Amino acid sequence: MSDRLPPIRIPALTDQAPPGPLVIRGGGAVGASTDAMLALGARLTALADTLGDLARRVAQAPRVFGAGLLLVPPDTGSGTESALDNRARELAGALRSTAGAADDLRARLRRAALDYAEAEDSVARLAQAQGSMLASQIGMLWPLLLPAALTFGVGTWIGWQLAPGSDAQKQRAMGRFLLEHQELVTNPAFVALVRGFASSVDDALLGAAGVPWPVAGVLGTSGSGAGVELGGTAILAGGAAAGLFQESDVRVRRVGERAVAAAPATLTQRLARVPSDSRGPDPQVYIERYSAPGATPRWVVYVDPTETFSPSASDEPWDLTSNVDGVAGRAAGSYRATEQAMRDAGISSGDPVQFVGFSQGGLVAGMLAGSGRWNSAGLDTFGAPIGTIALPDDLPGMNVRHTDDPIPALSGTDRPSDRMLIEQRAFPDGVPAGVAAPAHQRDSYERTAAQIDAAASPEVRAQLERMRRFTADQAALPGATITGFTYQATRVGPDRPAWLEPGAPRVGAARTR
Amino acid sequence: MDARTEAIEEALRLAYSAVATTEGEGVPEIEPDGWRGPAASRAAEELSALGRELAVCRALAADYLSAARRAAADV
Repeated sequence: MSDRLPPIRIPALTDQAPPGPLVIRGGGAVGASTDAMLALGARLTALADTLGDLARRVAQAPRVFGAGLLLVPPDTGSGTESALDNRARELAGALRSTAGAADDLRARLRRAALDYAEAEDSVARLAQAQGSMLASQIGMLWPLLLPAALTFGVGTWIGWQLAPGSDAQKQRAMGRFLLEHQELVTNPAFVALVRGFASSVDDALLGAAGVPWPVAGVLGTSGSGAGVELGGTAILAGGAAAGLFQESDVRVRRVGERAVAAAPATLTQRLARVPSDSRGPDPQVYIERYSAPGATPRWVVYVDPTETFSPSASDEPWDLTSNVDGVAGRAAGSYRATEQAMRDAGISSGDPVQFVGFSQGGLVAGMLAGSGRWNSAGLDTFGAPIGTIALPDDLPGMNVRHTDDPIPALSGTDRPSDRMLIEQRAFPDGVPAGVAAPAHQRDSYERTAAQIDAAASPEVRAQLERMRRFTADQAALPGATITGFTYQATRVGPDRPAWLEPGAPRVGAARTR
Repeated sequence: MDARTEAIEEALRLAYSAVATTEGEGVPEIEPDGWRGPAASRAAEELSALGRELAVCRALAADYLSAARRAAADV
């Protein structure tokens, strides 16, 4: 029997069924609303205002034959004048009534948005509490659970050995099964599980230390990010013992500089500027400078997503080590590399900077925007685990994430924030087979970005406009120029094997996005 | 110009404005962004009711304009 299996057809995500509605929180939006609800609310407000104003003007118009004014004595007034006054009264009443109906409907939409948000928050709090309790109990009972886990492991191993075929065939079959059943990880329930797990690692550790759950629950750190940081730190510590997740110094090299014709006008165009395979020799950071005579330069920093998911550090700073380090709140290699690139490009701490990133790039962008080390002027992230990062108040831009994408959930329960969060279920009506984590794929987020660009609600449009104007206004100044700088980063360090130094053949850098 | 004529002219201006406004104001629609379920259905029903009220306003604004024109013709 041959080891070769038929090739897996990778469907284009754009061929799939339409995604769910855009659900918007924060950034001026009340509660949790769809874009359509917000747009409808704005239209109803405008309608109520217009009709109410017209009703007042008609009602206050001088009466020709009306009671009180009697511009025409009743005994001399004509029928047409009387009819005119009556029509005015009727119209004013109808306009008032319709304006009231529009306003009432707008208020109910607002109430529905608040109720929806409250219901979602309640479910999330309940899930968090349950997850916390379960994690604590697992932590406390680990000596008892260990035999069961060992039994499960041995059973799995025996099952694997008894299954027909070679190891390679079985691995391929397993991989193919997972690829063809992405619905197992591409659904909101799994994402909630990931979020709960990420937030509950501290509870498990407290439980393992013998702290009972009620106390562990009180000590709980949900939403602060401390629990996730603790979990990340535990993974790093455990991995270090096995030679994994080892951080290093990073080196950044400018590999490109060019004049740029125009500033990005849309969210889709900002996402398209995030580095990808097609932009030269594996750059991870792309920076645009907007200069004009007499004006402080403005900058936009675009940060690459994860390049390799190998837990064993290679020369690639955009790796799993940086992911875990970043989620743990530490200065990951990718974070330090991006800062090096920013300094090389000439960004000073007072220059206004926008940050844009996808996946790990969004995590790095969020950490930079929230670091207080830079003059953050905006942040757009896509599929990034940044829910626990504290960001400046009223920072323009938005966090975009799919409710069936588990990666953003790795940061655990969100910190309360007034920042705009746009969520969408990428695949509500069936998950494409043959694509790993389809809801986290770049083209999936490109599709969502295009929908956001077409959003009708004033709240979303306002955030898009704030981000657009930052660059457009500067680019419109007399003598303005736009320059793009591209950077490639590598891990370096005295303890790194020679074969990992720049110029050596790359290992483990499989493209995974 | 006497107060009566002024009042009729003001009524005429308002009537034109009322017609233009009520004819220009369409009933808001729910954009097809995937918003589904009972809440969306209820909102659609309520929007239909609002549309009917707006249609009444439109008709009354047309009546008001006709009455204003007749009054102006009598002056």
